[in-house]
Amino acid sequence: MKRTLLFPCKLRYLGYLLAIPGLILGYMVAYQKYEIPGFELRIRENDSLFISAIENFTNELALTLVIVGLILVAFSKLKHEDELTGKIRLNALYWSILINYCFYTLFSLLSLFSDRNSLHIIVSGFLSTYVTFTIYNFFIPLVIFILRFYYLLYRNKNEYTIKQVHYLPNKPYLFIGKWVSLIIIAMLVVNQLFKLNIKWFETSFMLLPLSLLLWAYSKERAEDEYISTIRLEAMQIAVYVNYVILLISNMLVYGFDFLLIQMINLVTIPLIFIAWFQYRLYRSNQQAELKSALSS
Amino acid sequence: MKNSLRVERAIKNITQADLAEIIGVSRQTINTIESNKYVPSTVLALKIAKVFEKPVEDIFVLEEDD
Repeated sequence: MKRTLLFPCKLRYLGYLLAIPGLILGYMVAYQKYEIPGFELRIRENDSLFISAIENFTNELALTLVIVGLILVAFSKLKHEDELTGKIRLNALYWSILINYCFYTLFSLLSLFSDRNSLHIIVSGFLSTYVTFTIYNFFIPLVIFILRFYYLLYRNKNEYTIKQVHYLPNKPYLFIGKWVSLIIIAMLVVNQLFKLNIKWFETSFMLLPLSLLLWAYSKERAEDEYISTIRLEAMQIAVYVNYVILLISNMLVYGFDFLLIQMINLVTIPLIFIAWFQYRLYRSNQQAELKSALSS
Repeated sequence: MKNSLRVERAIKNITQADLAEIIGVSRQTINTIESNKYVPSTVLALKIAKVFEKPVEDIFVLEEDD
């Protein structure tokens, strides 16, 4: 009766086999500047300022391994998959996206201040700046999700741990989140189209993930069981679509341009979620109206 | 909502694992329902009722604050 959109149970092990070497390789690329010798192609005629003509694919390989691996670990069926485990999975996903953006807030605040005072000494090393966070943002949501999901499943041997998902009240958060997001998007579009190059228009992007999140985590006016179900399913779709886009752009976009992908990736999950969720709401309202029109 | 699943199981003399096997869920799910922490879907409730050959209302009962 119900479509689950999950991978077969056995692919979980394949996921570990891909993700663990991927993470090790990724660590070596990022912190030891390791490149697999000869694993490269000449993709352009000449070197330019930011892009060299020869592209080594070690970092692309690492990212692909990590993402495909973690997706398989996160979204393969359990041995005894049923409606409750499905529900726990979706709740954990919703929660982990929220936690990921709490990290985002923390690190963007730190990177704002670290330019000015000695705070950067504390946080330098690992996640020190906004840009490094964008790299972690590629896979941290999946890692948080996997940890949370297994915690809820296995904390107690005899029964599952059920945690309710909490949403913000409809008023005033939905309104604020929605309009702040739309205004920021409008500013960014205008800035690009008319080549205005207004600095604080660009900087407003840093706020966009948070306003989108506010929008995504506020209740609808008439939130009920059905809407909550659509909501949780929409988050799963958003995560899938996000990673498909990321894997494709990982193969097609290199060098300096990829920085843009990293930035956009900060907002894609909430953005796709909102689009899909609103579409589903719209469809179900339409169907309900059609039926009541037919029956009257 | 509360339920008399544990009692029904005792009457019919089947374990949580047996019941889980019959209706195709995990044993932990049955246990979570029995301890009133999870309200099963209508489909699952109907399947459970079918096993005990009773109407759903005999096994699952609304509480005042529902």
